[in-house]
Amino acid sequence: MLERILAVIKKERTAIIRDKPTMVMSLLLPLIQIVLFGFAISMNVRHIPTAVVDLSMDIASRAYLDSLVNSEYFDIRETLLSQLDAKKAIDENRVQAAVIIPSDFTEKIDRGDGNVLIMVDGADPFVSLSAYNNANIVGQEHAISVLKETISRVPGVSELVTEDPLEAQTKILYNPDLTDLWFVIPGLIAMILQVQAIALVAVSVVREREIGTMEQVLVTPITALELLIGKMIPNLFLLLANLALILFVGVIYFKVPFKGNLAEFIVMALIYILASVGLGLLVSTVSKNQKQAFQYNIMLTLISLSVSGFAFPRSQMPVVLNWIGYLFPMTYFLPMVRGVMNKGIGIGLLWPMACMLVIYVVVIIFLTSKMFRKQLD
Amino acid sequence: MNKSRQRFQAVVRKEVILLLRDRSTLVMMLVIPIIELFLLAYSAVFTIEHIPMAIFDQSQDQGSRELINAYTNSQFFDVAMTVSGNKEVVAAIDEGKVKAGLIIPSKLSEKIARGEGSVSFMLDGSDLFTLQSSFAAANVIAQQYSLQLLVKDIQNNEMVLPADPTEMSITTSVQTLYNPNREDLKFIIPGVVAIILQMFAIIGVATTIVRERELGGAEQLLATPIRPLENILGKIVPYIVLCLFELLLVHFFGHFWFGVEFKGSFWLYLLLSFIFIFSSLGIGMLISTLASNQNQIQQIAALILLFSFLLSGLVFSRMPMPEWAKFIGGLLPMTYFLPIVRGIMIKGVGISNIALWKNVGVLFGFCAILLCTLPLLSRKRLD
Repeated sequence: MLERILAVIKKERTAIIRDKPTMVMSLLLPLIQIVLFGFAISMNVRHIPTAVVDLSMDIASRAYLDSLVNSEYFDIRETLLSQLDAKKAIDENRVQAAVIIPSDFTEKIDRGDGNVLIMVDGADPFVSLSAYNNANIVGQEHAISVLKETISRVPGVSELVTEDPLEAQTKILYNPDLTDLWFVIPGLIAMILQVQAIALVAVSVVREREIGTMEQVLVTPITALELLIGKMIPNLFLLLANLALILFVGVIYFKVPFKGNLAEFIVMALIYILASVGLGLLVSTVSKNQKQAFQYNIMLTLISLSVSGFAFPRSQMPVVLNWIGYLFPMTYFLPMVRGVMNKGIGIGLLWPMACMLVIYVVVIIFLTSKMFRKQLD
Repeated sequence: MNKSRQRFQAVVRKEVILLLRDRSTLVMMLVIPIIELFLLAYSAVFTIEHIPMAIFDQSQDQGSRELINAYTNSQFFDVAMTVSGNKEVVAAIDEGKVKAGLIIPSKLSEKIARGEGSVSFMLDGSDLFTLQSSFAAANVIAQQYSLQLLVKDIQNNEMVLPADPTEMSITTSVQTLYNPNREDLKFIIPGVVAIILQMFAIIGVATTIVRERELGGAEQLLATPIRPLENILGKIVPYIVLCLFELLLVHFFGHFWFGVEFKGSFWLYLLLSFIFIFSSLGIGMLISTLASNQNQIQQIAALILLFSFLLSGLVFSRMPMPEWAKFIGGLLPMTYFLPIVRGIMIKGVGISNIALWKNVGVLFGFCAILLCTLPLLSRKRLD
């Protein structure tokens, strides 16, 4: 049995090495993604181009604008004269937010009804999210500091107000500076491994069926399971190379911390790769040609990216989508890779997920060899 | 002219037959946009509330209860569990049971009275989305509560405050234009339309042309009187029809199932998406001249898909990107189509909008360049 598996592995290895473009591409894609996320993309949008309509031009309005600018979320690009101009500037995409300060701002604050209007471009999801949240919060913080100042001006209070009665220290665990990449790299590892696993396996299995050599192999005494295992192993190495590449670039070049235990992580990643390769085998048994396998891969990727917790938190999802998420190895692996890299936790806490993945591997290989055999009949 | 039309029609007929024969591709292409629409509609949340929080309350007095209420009343945080130790709070976050933790020291009320109350609040930094909405909120909630305490303190000392201290003297009203409730679907539908149309157009046409070359059909065509332009236009037409059908399908579901209103002129939008489809098909043809087999097309397509997702403005804002990334994104038709579809659908901009025409102009540029070069490229290939 071992002999036959080894023979398949040898053959598969030759096929992989011979197909240069596929190999280059499978190593290039992850690299491009890391570079893009590392240099080009930021999820926390700052310096939003902002227009200002300041109808007061007094100390209070300037203080308000200062606090907006100091937050680094808003950059004042244009000074306009009316709310209509501001709306037009947003319509024409010159700015993505506008601050409108009413006239007599100082007096209005003294009367307690200073009201600032901030308009935000709602057409761009990340910008509008960032602008909306931060406009509210910067505004509130400013209001609090103004109120504090007003209170402390009351005679006799200043001795009383030396300190805040309550201080809250907000601490961000694992990723204190909110670096995008710390969050993205673990996700990328999970995503790339699954996508590549399906693609590579599909190429090796479906191509064989396309060229017609699959039938030839079946005449030999090899069993379906042996064939599948033989096809899995060389691809496993290619995927491990992928993983090493991402980790190397991410950790060495982009300095994303790897807090957990590397050896433990590699074992977990290996189980995950096996599970993904299993999914790839399942895909290739149901697809007639490479094109179809490719389409299935796109579809599975789209679905898994939305439901696995890759970007959107699973806790906020409807139950059905949450359940669909369990069909993908990525769903189990994401907490593992984030846990190990960001949190530095180990198998002690992650074993339930690891167990699920092991079960996943067993079930999917069983399913695939069943389907495979059925197809042959 | 008449002959030309006949030849053109013959190619169209051939392509339609090929398309219909490839059932699985056809079904996939029609099903993927709908699946994607539904998935994103139900899974994508950009504003996160009710973040599960663990509480370690060592005081259990009025002060701590009020503080906890201040956090939960904000809707941002929900008390998911009560624990009894600092380590347990961190452990709960480690295990992913909660995303935030509040640690209250003993005798908080007394400490507040002495002006030295201090609590610590922890957030899970491994979940960027949750964090973005919650970090600033957590700070402000605490500040506001502290201010309330201060005011109460002052009033207890029977001092007169100039204004009603429970009300802020400055309020900031934030108004989100066009999409007042920031409904995620309004971002999603234009995005789904743009990326699906682009990928479908590019892959579809490139595969057809290359497959023909692989199977040797291109050489057979050489022997016929058909001209390259007729051949290529004939290949394009069925795809344009299918793309338009997909577009209508997504908008149909968007409108009737999800009830997202379409603000601007649908006819203007349809006209402009026609130009967009045309320029995507052009890119597809350009790729077909570069690739020698279908496998290569799939790899190029994967690359384009990646760039489209990351650099076109579909998900991540193009604004903070460095110039080279903006440049790569600028090579994709959907980078220009996205502002058009968002503009018309969400903002309701019409033909008087300058920004709209800038993007349309670029799309026309795509069409023009490709229409000029492709007949040349394909002729060269056949020599």
